Amino acid sequence: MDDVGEADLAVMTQPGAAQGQDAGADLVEQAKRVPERFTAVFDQHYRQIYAYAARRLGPDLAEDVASETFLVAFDRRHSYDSARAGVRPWLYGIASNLIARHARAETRRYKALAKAVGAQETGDHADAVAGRLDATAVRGRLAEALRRLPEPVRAVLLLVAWAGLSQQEVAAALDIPAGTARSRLHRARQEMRQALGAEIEVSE
Amino acid sequence: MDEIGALREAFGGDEVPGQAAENRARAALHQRMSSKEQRVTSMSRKRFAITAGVVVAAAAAVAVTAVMVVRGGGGHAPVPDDAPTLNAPVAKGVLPFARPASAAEYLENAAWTAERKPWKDPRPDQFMYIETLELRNKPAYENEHPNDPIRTGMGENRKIQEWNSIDGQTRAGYKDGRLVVARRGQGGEYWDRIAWSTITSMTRPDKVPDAVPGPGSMGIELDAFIGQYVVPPNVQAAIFRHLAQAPGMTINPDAVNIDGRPAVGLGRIVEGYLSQELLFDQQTYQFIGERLVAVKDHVSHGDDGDRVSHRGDVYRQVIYSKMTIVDRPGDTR
Repeated sequence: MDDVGEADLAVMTQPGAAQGQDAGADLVEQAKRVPERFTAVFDQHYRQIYAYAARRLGPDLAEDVASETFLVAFDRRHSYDSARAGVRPWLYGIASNLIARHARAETRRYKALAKAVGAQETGDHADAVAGRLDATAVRGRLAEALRRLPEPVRAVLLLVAWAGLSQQEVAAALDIPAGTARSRLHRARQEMRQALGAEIEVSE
Repeated sequence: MDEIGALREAFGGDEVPGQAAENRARAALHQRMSSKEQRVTSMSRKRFAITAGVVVAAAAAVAVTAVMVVRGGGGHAPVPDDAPTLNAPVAKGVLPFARPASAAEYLENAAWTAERKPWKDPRPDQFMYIETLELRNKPAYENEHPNDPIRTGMGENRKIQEWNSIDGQTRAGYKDGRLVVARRGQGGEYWDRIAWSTITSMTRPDKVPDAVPGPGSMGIELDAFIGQYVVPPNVQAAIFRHLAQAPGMTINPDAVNIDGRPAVGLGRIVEGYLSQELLFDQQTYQFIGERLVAVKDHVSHGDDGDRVSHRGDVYRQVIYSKMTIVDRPGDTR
């Protein structure tokens, strides 16, 4: 059994004292020696990963994806390199790979969202005419645009928009060059802008 | 508001996982942490080498058993090659698991699936019926090259049907298209089967031995045992859970079954270059067969010359298309 130092225990028992990525990275480093430490990584990040997966896949698949993200991360903890990526990008990268396996389910979800809003738009025509940027209608447009995006491009966009990662973190998460992340994000944003423009035209 | 802001706002706030979902995920993680597999991954290769040696010895014992059975019974001659499609019953439905990432997790899911099969304890005079599809080289080639892997263009599916009574006293199979039933001791034919009471005693992983004890000093390796006997669901589940705790279990996610459909292979490396795998349906975790495949190039030096194996060479592939209890020889359901 590995020895557990007092400093290690401090991180475990006083999570508030550990701040930022370094603390998360420390936890993963500790888990390489004391596997049980990985529970703290789970406690810190599970809900965020679940929320991200749920937005992309819905709650049912999100439960599977979020759970497996931590199983995969635990299995791969020995290859985690804190110099390359923080814990959040690392976890989101694993989750992204798992989500990519459900690309069809994801596009079906966007299609359903777009369709549902399309039906509602007719009923809310008065609001649209009044020029209100109705969030539901916007969601429909965006959902349709997301559905059309290739998965790798969508992943970059949503890691920025929904996971709150920086471009650099996205590149690390998805293990792609920063330039690739930048160009994918540029393309995705253009598509979204176009979708929003269409919405404004309709509203006007 | 820019498009990023619109994306954030339009799709609402963060979805919060249910407490039950979070608990399940945490439990799965804890299970992973405490699984033996995790603890042995970083253990020395020395221990693995010893284990592999034992496995090889056990495999040899199985081979001996198989030879005895075939020669003694004479009821296992393959019927003409009509290569039917796989018709194993497959339990459909959503499994309560995340997509597994380790051999142990796959085996746990397989155990869960096995446990849900309907089952009625058989009478001693009933029979285990096992129907297999075996991929083998054509007889003419096989006779000349009995130790070769299955060659492209030479492989063919053989359907083999066999019946063994629960009490071990009667066996049957097709020979030249005719059903032949034999009683133990008649015509000088003898065979040994593992006692039903031994089988039914393996109700928990800790009650499952690494090799199921047979008559005398014979033992059958677990991987082979589950393909040769129709066992109660709880016993099959216990065996899978026992194997889940075995060191060195690996996943081959790209195995295919005899129909060319995707399967998952779970197994161990033997002799340093062969993967001895149990095959499971990728979607339902139903146990469907076994195979022996080379996972790297290898040259075996023997008295009769060198034997070269290439990565990907398949030496054995068997699909269990039916495993059930029936009333009499010839019955298939």
